[in-house]
Amino acid sequence: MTLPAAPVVAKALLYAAAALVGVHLVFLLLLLLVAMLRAGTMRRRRAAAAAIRPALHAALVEFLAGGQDDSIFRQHIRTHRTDIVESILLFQGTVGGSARDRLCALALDLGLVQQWCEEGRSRDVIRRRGALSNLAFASAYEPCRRVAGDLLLDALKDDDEEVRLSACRGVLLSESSEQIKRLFELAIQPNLLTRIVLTEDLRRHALALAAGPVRVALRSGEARRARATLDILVAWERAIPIDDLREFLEHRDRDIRVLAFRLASFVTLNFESRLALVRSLTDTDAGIRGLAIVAVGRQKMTEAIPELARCLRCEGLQQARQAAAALGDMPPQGWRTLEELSTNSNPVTALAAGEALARARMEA
Amino acid sequence: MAGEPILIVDDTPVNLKLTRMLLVNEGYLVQTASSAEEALELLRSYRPRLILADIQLPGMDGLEMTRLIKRDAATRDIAVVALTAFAMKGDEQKALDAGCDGYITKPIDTRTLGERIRQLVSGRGGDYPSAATQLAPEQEAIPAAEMQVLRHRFLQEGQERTRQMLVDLDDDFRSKDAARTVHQWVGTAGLLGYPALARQTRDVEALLRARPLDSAQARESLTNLLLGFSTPPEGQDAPVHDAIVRALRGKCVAIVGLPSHETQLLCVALERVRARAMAFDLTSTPDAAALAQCDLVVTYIRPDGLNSAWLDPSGEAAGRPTVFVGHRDDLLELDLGIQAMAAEFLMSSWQPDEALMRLSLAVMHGGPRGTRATAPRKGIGARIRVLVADDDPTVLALVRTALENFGMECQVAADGRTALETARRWRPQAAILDVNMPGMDGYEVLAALRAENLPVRIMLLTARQRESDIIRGFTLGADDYVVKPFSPMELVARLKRLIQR
Amino acid sequence: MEELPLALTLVVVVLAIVLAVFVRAGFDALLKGYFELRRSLRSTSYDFGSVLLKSPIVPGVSVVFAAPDASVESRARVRRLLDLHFGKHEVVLVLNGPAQEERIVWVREFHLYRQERVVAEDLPTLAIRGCYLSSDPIHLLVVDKEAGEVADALNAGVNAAQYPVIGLVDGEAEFIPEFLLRLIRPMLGDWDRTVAVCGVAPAKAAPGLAGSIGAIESLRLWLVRCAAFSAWNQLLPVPGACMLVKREAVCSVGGFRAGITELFLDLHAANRARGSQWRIAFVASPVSFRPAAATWADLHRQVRRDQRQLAPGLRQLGPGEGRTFFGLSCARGLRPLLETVAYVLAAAGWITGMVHPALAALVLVTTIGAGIVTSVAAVVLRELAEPSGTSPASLVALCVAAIPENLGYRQVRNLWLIAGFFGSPKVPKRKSGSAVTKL
Repeated sequence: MTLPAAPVVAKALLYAAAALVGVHLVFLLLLLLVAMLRAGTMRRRRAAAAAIRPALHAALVEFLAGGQDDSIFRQHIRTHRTDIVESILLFQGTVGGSARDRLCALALDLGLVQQWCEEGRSRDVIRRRGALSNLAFASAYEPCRRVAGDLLLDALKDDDEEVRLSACRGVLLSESSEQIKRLFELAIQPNLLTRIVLTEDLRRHALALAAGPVRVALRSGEARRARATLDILVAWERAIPIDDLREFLEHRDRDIRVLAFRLASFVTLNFESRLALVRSLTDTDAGIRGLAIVAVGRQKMTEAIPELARCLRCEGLQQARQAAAALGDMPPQGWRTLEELSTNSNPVTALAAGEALARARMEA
Repeated sequence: MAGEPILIVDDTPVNLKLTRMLLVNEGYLVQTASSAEEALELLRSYRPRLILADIQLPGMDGLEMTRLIKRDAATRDIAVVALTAFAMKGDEQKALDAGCDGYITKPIDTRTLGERIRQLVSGRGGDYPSAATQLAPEQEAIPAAEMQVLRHRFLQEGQERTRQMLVDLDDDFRSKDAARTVHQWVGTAGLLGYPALARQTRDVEALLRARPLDSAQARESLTNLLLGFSTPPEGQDAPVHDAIVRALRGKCVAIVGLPSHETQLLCVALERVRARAMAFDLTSTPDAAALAQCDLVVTYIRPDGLNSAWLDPSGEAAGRPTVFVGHRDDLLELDLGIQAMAAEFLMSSWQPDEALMRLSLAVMHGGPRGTRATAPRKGIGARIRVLVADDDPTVLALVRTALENFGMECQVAADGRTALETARRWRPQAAILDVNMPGMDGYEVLAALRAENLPVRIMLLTARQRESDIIRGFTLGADDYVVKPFSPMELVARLKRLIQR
Repeated sequence: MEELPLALTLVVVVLAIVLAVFVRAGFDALLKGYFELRRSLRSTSYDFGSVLLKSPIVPGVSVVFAAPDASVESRARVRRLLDLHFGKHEVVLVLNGPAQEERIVWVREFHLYRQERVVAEDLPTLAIRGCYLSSDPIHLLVVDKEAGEVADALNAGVNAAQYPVIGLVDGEAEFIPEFLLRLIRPMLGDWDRTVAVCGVAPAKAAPGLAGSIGAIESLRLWLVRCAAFSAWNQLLPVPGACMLVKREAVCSVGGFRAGITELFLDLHAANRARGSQWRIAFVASPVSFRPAAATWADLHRQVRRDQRQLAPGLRQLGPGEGRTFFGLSCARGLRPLLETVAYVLAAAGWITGMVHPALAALVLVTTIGAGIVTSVAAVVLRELAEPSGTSPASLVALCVAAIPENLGYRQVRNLWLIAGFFGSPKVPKRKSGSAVTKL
């Protein structure tokens, strides 16, 4: 570029840059206007909600605490529908039993359930999510389930994960055994969030599932399904009948073994399982040995006392402590063993045994 | 009788102090001596109407002193009353043979000491007194705090010395000195309101004086005595009925105008049911703030105190359950309006057990008699105090409303620290605690309440439902565990069951 | 002599063009961030907080905190970490060679008692002197180790952690008690792929011009370095963020070699080595934030701190990672330098007459003008992506503040950035060939 041409080029560049900046600014200012309008609308809506919400909240509290007056809701359902819905939903995680039924009945009386059914078919995923989530809550009440019909079942095939999860939770409330089995299959799929959400809701069907789908999943031979099933069983923390845990206590997949040992604390073990548990006290895997020690202690397996004593003498501090705690749970033989070992020449053994004995005596 | 001079001879300072206080409050002029020699020296210039002497004294004993007094023409007419623990068989007879005009057994019954002395001073025996001597308005009293210190010190010293005796039992044990020490405890325990402990020490004294000394039995007795000093509630005469304990436990009782020894007796009785007391003067004006802490008012009725603000039917104290104490005639002569303030009455010669029963009835029946017929505002849960602690305002509002609809009184707290402070101040019967709270969580609050032995039923209300959480809650002392989401009706039903248990 | 004006003119033109490219890239990143934010906010409507709180399947989190001292603030921070709402979490407090007095303060504060404990040695650290537990019912593990660097302390905390997920909190972060519940959600949605999660939101503007400028900076940072970088799977921690990282992932890259930023750089490097199978997710909800700057001193301190955390790691990047984070390196180091040079040259050239005024003006338009556009865009796009509840007047005030932000503050900030980028201390390099092991 020659020096005489520089001013022309400079001006051209300057004008171009300025124009670009200007256009962007104008465009952004327009967007700013839109944002301001939206912000203003939101603030007005919030102000209106702030005026009515406390009254709605107080009325709902009174209603759920045994009151009968629902006139305020009927009075404001046309003008403050959203506020009423949000106020009702505020209690969904708080109340259960008859209070929840009353809440659902109120939603039905106000026409909200019907509205949610319509929104459940919306193309907008946010609306569908909201509607299905609300319907899942309301499905605890049988009249609401009748109004929703097959909507929840259809939503099980939705593209959106949250819609599917909400549908699952709603369907579970229907207590249909077929649906419960179907949802159990869903829960043992790889998605951890689905498993977590459904495990809680499936907990009350634990016994029914243990008799059928759980057994099928455990016997399927697929490590993934077995692992997921064991995960759920452990999370339930229920003493459900499991035929034979031995296979999983000695499984080649370490994760499955870990879960099986954790489960062994709750279930009734048959003879083979107990043997496997005792054998595991000499496993090469230190983590497995630790879990076996805990399970043996919780099952109060006195036949494992000699092995526990060996663990207390030979293992590192952490596992020695676990073995000592297990022995502490098995008086009087366990305590006698601890008394003997509390004077052992191995300081780790003596320390662990002494601690566990003192704690066991104090708790007794 | 008021103003009669009396000499007390006792080598135990605490006994001397307490007995002197009792008799001064009965209106006597009291001198004290800590040994027989000192007493005899005093008698050169001082002529008491009556001498109250412990038999077991250092140096010259009480019996020898009595003989000397009765031999001297100048002092022959002075009535001598022996304080005897009946440690040895025939002690009573020995006292009479020595010339004593009477005897009072230890532990001294502080309620009847005044009457007994009056009988002995007047020479009448066995007549029940008519209207009691008016108590001087200016009474000597040991402040409650000092009394507490005396009691504590007595128990501490008793433990230490008993422990030392046990150690010495294997080595160089002087049973005579030990018996002497234990003898002192007989009187002191009685005066400080531990009658069972007094009886126990009396038995131990007898054992220690027996010849030859049975070491094994002595060891066992001293061990039991050590236990008795360690846990004085075991020294109570009889276990208090559960219903009375339930009604009074944790309560604060305002004691208004009672004579000091009655106040002490009532305080000791209240300690048995883990209630506490606040003393007020009948001439003082009821302090609203202090009264707010009290669940019950015990007011002494005497003719010159009827204008007291505590007896104003429209006053501060009128709304609280009230028990009137006094002589039968004084109570009967009360104005009907004032009479109606009281839920229960106690006659002057009340016994601790009867007092506890009357107080518990007053608490259970609620307000004054005039209001007893009125049903509670809502439901049968009226006046049950429940503390609710949760950082979720929705849960707080819901639980509070549900409880109030069932007639319970409710205070709320949004965090653990506030919950604990409220529990200490307000003394609820039950508390509903969330676990996840800012600052102190529900487990910490629970542990603190249990550590302080606050008598409150605790229900945990939480979203946590894992086995470890539930076990932890019960291990820390929770009475019930409710998982969210919860039904308010079920919560109230569980709470009522807890409180009624 | 004629060559000098020509050369100067050319240099100024080139600088202006380069700066325009930087501005364009920044604006594109803003737009990217806007769309990512919208997508992210629409992808989850519910956090299932109450379910996650109760479920034992949710992996536990060990929140590691290397206490700088035993001050009241540090102890209060530990208490706040203990109060987090989560089903299964512990706080691993690492004392980095404390003095006896400091140790006593901690012991008294939390009623600690010593307990012999076997601590894993997955990461090399200096010797651990002792472990302490609390006799209060709190999940606190205190690791007392020999004095070393912060990275060593963090590694000791990772070794002692018992749960599979490590929680980290930026020193400046103000966090909500539910942040663990919010951050764990993306991990649960895709456990195998998601190795880390970052969560942060911009704070509300403090009053005053400095507050508005600070707010605009926060918005830009949030949209670009959080949302946009998350879309490109290049997310790095920003000031005020809370993070979750899988313990396995931390160990696989050899642990901390300096700060959290370097850890994330190592994670990205490891991810590239594995063919980009990992994901570092971003949670846009207000789980934590950096306190709003209210004064010029706050602004300076924040810029300096951010630069000190970022620059050492960026300076050491190799060819591979250098390409990945080239844009960031440019934005933090090269651009401020070039812009400052451009100002100087344009001003000097204009004053001496060697540079046409239009060219000088071009420099100003491509820096200040475009900067104003970028700042206004940050405010507007954020508001469009997620209404913040700010009043319309406040929105206008923020946009107006973009003018002094770029006309004065920007130039000073460039100097701070240059000083911070080139003046920050070196950090240890990742040992080549080591530690990037298969998970």
